[in-house]
Amino acid sequence: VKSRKPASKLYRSERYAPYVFLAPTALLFLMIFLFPILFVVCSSFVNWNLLKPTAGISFVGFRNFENLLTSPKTWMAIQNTFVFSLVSVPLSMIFGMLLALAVDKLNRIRNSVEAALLIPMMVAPISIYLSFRFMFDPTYGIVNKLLSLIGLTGPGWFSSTDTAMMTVIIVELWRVIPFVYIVMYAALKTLPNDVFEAVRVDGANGVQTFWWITMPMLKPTLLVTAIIRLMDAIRAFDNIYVLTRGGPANATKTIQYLCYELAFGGFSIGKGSALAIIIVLIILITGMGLIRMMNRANTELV
Amino acid sequence: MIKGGIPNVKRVLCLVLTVLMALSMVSIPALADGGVSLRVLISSGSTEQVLREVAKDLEAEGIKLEIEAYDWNTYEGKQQLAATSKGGDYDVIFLPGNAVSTFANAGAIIDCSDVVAQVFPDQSDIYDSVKKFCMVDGKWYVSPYSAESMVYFYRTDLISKDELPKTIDEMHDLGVAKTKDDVYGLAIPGGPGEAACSFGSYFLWSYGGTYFNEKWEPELNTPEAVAGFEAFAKIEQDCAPKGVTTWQNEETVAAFQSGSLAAMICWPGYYAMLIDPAQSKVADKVGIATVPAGPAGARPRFGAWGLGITANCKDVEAAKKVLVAYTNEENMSKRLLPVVTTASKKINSSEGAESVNPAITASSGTLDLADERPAIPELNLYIPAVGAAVNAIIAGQPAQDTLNALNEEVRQIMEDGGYYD
Repeated sequence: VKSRKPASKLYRSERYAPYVFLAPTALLFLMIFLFPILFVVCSSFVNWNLLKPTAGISFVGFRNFENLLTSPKTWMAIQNTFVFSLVSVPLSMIFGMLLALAVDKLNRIRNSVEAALLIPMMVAPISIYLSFRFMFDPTYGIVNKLLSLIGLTGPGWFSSTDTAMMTVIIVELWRVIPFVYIVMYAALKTLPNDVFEAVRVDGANGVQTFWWITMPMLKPTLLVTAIIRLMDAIRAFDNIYVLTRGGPANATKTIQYLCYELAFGGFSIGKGSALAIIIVLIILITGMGLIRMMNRANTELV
Repeated sequence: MIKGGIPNVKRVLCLVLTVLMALSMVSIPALADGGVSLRVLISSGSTEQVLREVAKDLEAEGIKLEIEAYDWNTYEGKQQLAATSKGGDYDVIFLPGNAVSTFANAGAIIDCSDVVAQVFPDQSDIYDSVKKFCMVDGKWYVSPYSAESMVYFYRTDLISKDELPKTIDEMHDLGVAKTKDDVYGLAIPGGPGEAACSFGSYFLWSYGGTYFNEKWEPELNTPEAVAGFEAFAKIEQDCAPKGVTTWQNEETVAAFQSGSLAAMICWPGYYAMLIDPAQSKVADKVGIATVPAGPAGARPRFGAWGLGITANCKDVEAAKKVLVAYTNEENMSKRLLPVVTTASKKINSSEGAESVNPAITASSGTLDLADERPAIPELNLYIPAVGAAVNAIIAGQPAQDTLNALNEEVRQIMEDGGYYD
């Protein structure tokens, strides 16, 4: 009979080795993803002010959600977020796409134009926002100074309730159009040439080619880009923080900014967590709709 | 090590643990010469320069200060985080008066009454308003060094001393009269959040309003509050540049420095920047006066600053030396007096004080009536709410409706805080 001792030791090592190697990743996953998610879900049901440790943590059930959903401020923030998203996302898609089509037709100066278009992507977003904040200052900014040179009185831009959201959207478009452009341009380059030659032979004009050939073939890419952009727009925070701080008169306060105010301004962890869950739900619902559309488009294309 | 195809797991784990332990040993801070190193959090500005000078003195005693100075917004964020974690990584924190009770109640700073007794042997020398905000349950939690209230800055080439407004109505009328030729008559920081709330408080109190009654019920939609905030909005709409609805202190000061404003209301701490020719186009034309009065008197916001020792401080005795070095009479008279209104009545009224710091008379002139927003743990929740509402009124929303909604919002905050149980 052969002694099994050395073999079993080796066997045991082999059996545990995969778990040992997986452990760091599993731990990382638990710490970075699962634990924070569970923590946020649990803390959304409690009343917990970090600046009031003596009051402790008390379970309040759905009261945080109830308070948030009955507060006009929350609905105003949701409305602002939707206006921001529903205007900035389609416009960025349209302009990005048009730019990609235009650059695709260029011959000589294409490289220079491409380089210029990518500049906004190379600049830190905070620098972009700060620059625009100074440029759009109604009294001292260069934009109104230029308008006055041609006899126009510039609006209040960020400082007027009528124009603040529009101005934030303008800045956002300047920042994100290059991203949409580069994705669309890359997608355009992958389209098969023979299809376009065939429709040209059939006598289709430029608009017809774009509408019936280019667009359907770009649809999956368009939808993926739209999903990314929409999620970015719903999570808008840094631009609002630097440009307007949610003002004037709450005109640009997005749901993410409100969440920041509650959780990191007021240290009301319960309410902040509840609002974070509401934001995730909004992103999930809108995202899932778009993903379903994308899957359908992929199936149609196949 | 690798025999038979797989590594010896135990050996690998032992090696990893040894490396981790070695790394953790290396990260323990220590000074080679046996002294102590303390981390200090401060809001950047002229008081930071004084701290750097004090730090040089302290090095001789073996105390090295690692000074972390930030602009107001960054400082405020770090300060608030420190309040939630026994002071965080800091040993000494510079705190405004309205944050002291929050820190003390959260157990983030320790009692430093012995330090204050040492630097202020006669505590009647300290302004009552400073005591109100720097003491909790009869104990000092910071050693105070400054006490100042908002002031009225004006351009001496555009507004003469005889023209200086005595009342808020006069201030409005003067602002309108001086708004011409690319110069705006008066601007007050009115951006959402802290700015609108902070400067709105001056109007609220000066018109006889208050934040809460004795039962902690908000009183932000009373006739006095409506009149006060409407007066603030009227001034901003009639006399200030359009962008004032987004302005915090820095933008307002920059506008004054550029020569675009005939007057502004702001903190006296900015005086040094306004008269610095390197930063200001109107350096030789800056006047300073007490803020005008409303129906209930001139009641601007009051600000006191002090140094506190955190609960996490690694060497309390060394930290106490820092507090003494910064807030002792000699340092306050020589280094702090030129840049702030000190917490000591004696130093402020000493001979030559006015020539060292011309802002002192205006700043300390309203200290008896000046007030501060209730320093409760819900401060950080109700300030953004009030700031947003006041900002909305400045932007043209109807005052009464906006304040009714605000009152309900603040009542909800207080209810969640357990004030009505």
